[in-house]
Amino acid sequence: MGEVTILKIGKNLIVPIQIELHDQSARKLQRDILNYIEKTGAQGLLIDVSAVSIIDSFLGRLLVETAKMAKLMGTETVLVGMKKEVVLTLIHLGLTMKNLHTALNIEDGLALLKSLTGRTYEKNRK
Amino acid sequence: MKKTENNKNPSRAEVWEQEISIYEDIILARQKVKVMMQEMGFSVLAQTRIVTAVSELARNIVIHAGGKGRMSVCEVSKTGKRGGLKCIFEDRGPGIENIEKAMQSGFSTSNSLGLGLSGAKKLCNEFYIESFLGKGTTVTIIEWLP
Amino acid sequence: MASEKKEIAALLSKYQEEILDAWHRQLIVRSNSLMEIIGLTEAKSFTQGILEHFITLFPLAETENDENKSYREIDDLFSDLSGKMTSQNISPSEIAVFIFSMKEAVFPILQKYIDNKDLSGAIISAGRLIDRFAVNTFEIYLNTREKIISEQQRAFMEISVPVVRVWHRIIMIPLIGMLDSERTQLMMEVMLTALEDTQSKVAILDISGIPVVDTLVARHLITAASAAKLMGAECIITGVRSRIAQTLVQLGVDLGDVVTRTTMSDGLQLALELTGQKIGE
Repeated sequence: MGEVTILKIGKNLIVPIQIELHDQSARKLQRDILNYIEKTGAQGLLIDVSAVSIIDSFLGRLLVETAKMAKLMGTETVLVGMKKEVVLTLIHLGLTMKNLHTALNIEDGLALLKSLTGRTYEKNRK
Repeated sequence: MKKTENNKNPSRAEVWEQEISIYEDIILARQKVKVMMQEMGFSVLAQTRIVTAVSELARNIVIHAGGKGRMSVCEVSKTGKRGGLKCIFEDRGPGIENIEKAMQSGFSTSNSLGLGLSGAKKLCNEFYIESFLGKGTTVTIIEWLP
Repeated sequence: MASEKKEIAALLSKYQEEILDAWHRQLIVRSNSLMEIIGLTEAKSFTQGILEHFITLFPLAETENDENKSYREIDDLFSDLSGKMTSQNISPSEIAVFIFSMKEAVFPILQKYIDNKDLSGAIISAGRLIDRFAVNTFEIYLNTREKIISEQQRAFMEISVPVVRVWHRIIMIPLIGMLDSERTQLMMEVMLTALEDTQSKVAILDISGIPVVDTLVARHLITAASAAKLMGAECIITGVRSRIAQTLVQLGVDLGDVVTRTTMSDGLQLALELTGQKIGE
């Protein structure tokens, strides 16, 4: 079972999920991401799920939780590239992930992170 | 002189079984169902829906039945000529005390979202559940080709 | 009994011409309009076929199941008949008359040539088989109809959700007519496919063509908006007229975070802002 790579580019962490995660490896990924944030103080977290073909209620919840946890650590999260089939399935399940920032692709996601982290910075200065 | 030309491929129904005991088995179950659905010609959307349901139900066995259960998958057919896929999840867990309550969206005994059973039901064409306290639970789902 | 039935079948076969003539007379009297539409020649080919099958099937035991070859052959004939009649808009009652009038052609022959003691039995068995023919025809007629309806539905569904690429990274979907859950499902699929393919950032759903926006429709729209959001796009709903705004608030519907506008141009303006674009001065 492979590992998910966590990349740091500038102030952001980029996590492209390229393998099918089972529950425990998903939990491990969550721990790894949070540890990485602690270590690096990254301002933004971008999770790319464009290669993920199944998001069930467990993984969905885990992603939402990860974003909440990151937020507590001062890091904004954007989820990018969700497949349309996955979107429709989540909608069917009734899982709309309301409080999660999303973007179509990595490029948009990074732009969104920039505006999100910029905004918090300004707020903090006030 | 009975003619059987009408149903030419009699029971080429491939039955596939697998024990569900640990988290890795969930992934195996998902992959198997996905491959079978691809071969049968289901759309990517249907594959995603059903594999998600399989994931929920297999996880239920791991979490609620202590990993004492198995899944079997087979092709089914109906007089209307369209084929379908049937997955059966059988466990020897504690059983469900109140099925109606367990089927409610948001009900959970394990601090999850409570979307397992109700979610799986929403994701497939047909859903049946049967449970005996102290004996176990059987969930059957069917998805028909359009 | 079986041998008697064979005798009756032979009898019917012998007087085939007479039966057919009587049948045709019945058809002309009882369902003139039908005969006008399909024509006597065509009707004759059907009556002849049905009678021939009747003669073959009659001696068989009634319990003989439908797997029998002759039964399947006559089913083909019936589906031919139903198909023709459905495509010509002939009413089901006329199709029923078509089959049932066979009784009035067959029974007189039985009465004429069969002894009184065997007559009632013969009439009952013959009647039963004709009833069975009628039921089969009806079933096939319904199946044909259902098939046509579902084909039309599919065709309608396909044309019912057009996607317009109004600007770079902005798509627009005009919604027209009823928005039930099935169409919402289709609309979401179409929308998400277009968003994915064009990597558009904004989807404008125009509801000007939806006559009634109630709680259910509102819920469907919210669902569509959350689907767009999950994919990373924004959803703007345009065409919210004063009437709709009134009803929604009165019904207590909360559209939540969904952005709405009255006119398409306002919606487009907002979409351009969201994508950081401007239309030349």
